[in-house]
Amino acid sequence: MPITDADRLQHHLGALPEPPLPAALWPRVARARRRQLARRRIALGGGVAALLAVLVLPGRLPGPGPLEGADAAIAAAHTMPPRAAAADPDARLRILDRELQAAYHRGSGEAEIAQLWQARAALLRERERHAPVRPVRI
Amino acid sequence: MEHAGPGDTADTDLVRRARRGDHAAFEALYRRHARAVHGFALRLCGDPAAAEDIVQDTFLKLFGFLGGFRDEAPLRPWLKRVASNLAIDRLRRQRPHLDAPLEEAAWADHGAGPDLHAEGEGLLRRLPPLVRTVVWLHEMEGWSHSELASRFGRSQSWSKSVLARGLARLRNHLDDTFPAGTEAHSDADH
Repeated sequence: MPITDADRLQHHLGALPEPPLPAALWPRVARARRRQLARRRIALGGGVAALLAVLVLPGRLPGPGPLEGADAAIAAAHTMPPRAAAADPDARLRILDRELQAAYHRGSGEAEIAQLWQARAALLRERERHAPVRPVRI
Repeated sequence: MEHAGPGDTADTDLVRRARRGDHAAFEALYRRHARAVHGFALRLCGDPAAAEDIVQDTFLKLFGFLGGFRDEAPLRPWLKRVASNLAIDRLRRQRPHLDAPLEEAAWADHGAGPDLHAEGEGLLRRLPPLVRTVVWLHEMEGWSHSELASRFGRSQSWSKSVLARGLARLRNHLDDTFPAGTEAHSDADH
């Protein structure tokens, strides 16, 4: 089979040797990566601070989701005022857990995840200190 | 330098570790793929400084995108696609380049020295930057005219015209450098 011009050209282009990788490029990429991480940490730090501010300010927190069946009846008998409901540590815990799940899902850095775990641990300690008396189902 | 194939399990493991913030895994991914990405970027743009910028930006995009990267997705094609897009973005920012290939003045010698004429790199250097990008992506990476036109924001007839002129130019140089019967053999033949 005759060799066409296109074959010759492809042969020449395909046979090009791979040029050497400049040795100084990895340190440069690593530095840029560190800057990228630092920028992300600052941005995430701001986001986490905003989240914690929302969690710490009970009046701004959305209440827990609606209850169903017997739970709803029990809750109705012990209706909390809106601000108290917003301060419910369980609701705040659910929000933090959702944030943690989302952080893992999007592959967030260890720093952000550690902050969320610290916030969760603090919330658990607070919940234990101020555990409300809850109705017991018999 | 290790060579990574598509869907490489070592890549999968490294991506998982890098996703958890393992810096050594980042570096290992770079060591496995950077030379290929650099060579590819240099073929596209012909400018060593620009090629280094493209490598850096490609890996930063990889590191920033690790959370959304599917484990089974082959890494090398993804890296080359990102590098292609970055190279094309650079050309698009230099707007006059997009029209230049169809003008005679743009076909002046692009820095090929006599020592480069005898090899393919010398041939590529005879082309304006945009033309070499189109030629390489079409001939060596299998991009269609539809993809090229879409990515450059031009028509398919523009892509076909740029490619045809680029190939004609390369064939002429090939004939001048290696007249019939004097074909040189590259290292790849041995």
